[in-house]
Amino acid sequence: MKRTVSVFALILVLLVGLSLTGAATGHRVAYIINGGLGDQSFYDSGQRGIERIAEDFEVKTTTIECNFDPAKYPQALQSAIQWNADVIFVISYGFEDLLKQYADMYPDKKFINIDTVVENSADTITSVDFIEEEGAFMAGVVAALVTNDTSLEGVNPEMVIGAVGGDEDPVIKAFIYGYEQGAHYIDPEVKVETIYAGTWTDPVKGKQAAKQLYSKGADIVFQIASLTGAGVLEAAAEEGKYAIGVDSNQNGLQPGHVVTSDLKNVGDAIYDVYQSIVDGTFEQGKVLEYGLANGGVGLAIDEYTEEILPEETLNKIREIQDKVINGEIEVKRYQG
Amino acid sequence: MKKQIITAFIGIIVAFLAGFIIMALQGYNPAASYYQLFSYSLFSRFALFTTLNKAAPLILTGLSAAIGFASGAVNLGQVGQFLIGAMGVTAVGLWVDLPAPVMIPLLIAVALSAGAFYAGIAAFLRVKFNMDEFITTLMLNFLAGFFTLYLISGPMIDEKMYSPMTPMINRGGWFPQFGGLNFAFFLAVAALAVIYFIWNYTKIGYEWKVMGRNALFAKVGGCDNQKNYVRVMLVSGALAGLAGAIMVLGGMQHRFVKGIDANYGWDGVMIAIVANNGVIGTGLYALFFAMLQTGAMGMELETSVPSEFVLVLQAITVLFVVASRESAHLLFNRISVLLRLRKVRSQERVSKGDDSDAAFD
Repeated sequence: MKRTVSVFALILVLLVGLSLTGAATGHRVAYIINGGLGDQSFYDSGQRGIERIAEDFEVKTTTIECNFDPAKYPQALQSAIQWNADVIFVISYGFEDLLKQYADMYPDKKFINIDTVVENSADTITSVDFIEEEGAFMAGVVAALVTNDTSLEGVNPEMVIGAVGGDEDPVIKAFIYGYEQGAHYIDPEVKVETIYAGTWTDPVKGKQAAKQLYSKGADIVFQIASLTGAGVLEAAAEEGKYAIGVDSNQNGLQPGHVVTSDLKNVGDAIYDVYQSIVDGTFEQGKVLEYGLANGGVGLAIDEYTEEILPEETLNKIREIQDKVINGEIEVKRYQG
Repeated sequence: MKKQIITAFIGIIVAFLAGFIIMALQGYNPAASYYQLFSYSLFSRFALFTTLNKAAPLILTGLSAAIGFASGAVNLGQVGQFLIGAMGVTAVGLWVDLPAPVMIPLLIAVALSAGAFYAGIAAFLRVKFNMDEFITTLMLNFLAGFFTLYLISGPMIDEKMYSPMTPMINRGGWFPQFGGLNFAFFLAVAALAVIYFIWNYTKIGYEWKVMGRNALFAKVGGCDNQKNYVRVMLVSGALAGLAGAIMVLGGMQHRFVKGIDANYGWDGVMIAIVANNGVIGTGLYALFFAMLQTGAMGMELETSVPSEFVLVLQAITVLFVVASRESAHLLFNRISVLLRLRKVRSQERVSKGDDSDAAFD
């Protein structure tokens, strides 16, 4: 027994001795997410921005995943501080008030909150807010055009389109609000059916929800559910129907069935903000808005889309997109 | 006992060695990663206290599973009892506002009874309709999950927040912190001590133990198995309910957040299994797993090893310890028999060695 203890102690001492040497100088950038990477959607989009920062600016970056475990939220913030991060990008769903506390405690750190607006009393948190309604409007336009075009394979005469959301939260409601506006802009007769899966991490539930919508006569389902949405795309392929991806370009995940993706360029926004910090044009405590006009949101139209939709439909989509950008079509914002 | 400690140590060391190889194959630096694992879970005050705070719910769900399994009551409803316990204290904490010395004991009582009530449903179904608690507790987990999700995204939602959660409970119900170490940890240790005492030093604990070993023998010996079964279920549920409550009262958010149960329920079951349903073992493994889960963030931060990697370590530890428990005991027995045999043989040779040599000549 004594020997085991001493061997164990020796191992510990060795481990301590092997500690990391030569910490990088310069900026350290942390990316804290409430969920987990690998969703091929929202969180991964942000991660691409972080990777580009690491490459282009030669700074040390790290990503902290909380995997939706509330016990990890304070630990994540504390660890980022301990790690000596100078700039902290954070997706703070579920711990907005913790973020406020930490931002008040460490006013010299740059906290950039992504996707929602969080304001602390010292007003040091910068928020990156996306105009989801505009991207979702375009998704609604595409969905309505698809369900109207019975010449497309698998499209029935019923005018129903669907959407699968993760949680019933203000951001997802804003998506739905924009989606409906877009669909009704094309055809006021189109009916929008929505299911909230109640989870961001369960593709099986997403698949069930999508199949339910398809059985109600929907031809196309818009997924707004992170990893849960991967199941929606699968269901589209299995049923021979269509789906719209979200946040990242998901068109290639189920070729021939994902018509387009409503991009939320989290990664680009993160890169932009960091660029502005380097340039010195960064303004702390502001709310930065990213919409269709400045490329924060928008549709991913690529060869997969061209395979599914005829040229004239694509032109019509582009035309409407231009109108939204130049203000001819006004997309109403969701009010809580 | 000594054998158990040796198996546990071997299991942990094998898991770490296997992890070392896996990390090296994936191109990470295993030594630096392990250092960070310990550094972010033990080597600073904040790290150590985070580990202890994390261990608190694991100790409680582990105990809940352990005493259930050891008494022959297969309570797999820790998840549900956890959620109902957490929801119970949230509801009471939102509507009752008292000074802390009154409020905290009240909320602890609420948590215990909410968890016990929820486990009691399964016990009732077993006693009245002979429905296996193995199934009913599992099913009740889903009910609790959807019910609480409905409450936090509907009637009890905090409209100002971007994801489903209730408002904060009243301040009197917040557990005190001692320099970062939460009162929840002491509560969990106290629960462990109470269960240890009941289990080893009281008549009822003895009856539960006998029921778990052989229910028929307990019955023949004059124990009221039905009554004991219900009691075990209630205590087991109460412990899981308390685990849920400390996530609300002891956390930093003081509200019922979506996903509050994380994986505490199932981790508890795993801890009980790997500890062979022993009370002290459950406490130690809870600390060990809490350390792994806490340190995972440090590995991810410093050497970018994905935090999921500790799940691999956990799984290897569990597999090795559980799978090798029986065979290791057999092995130890065989070794001791061989040693004794050799001793006997050599003694025999000494006593009659001369004759046999002579015969060959």
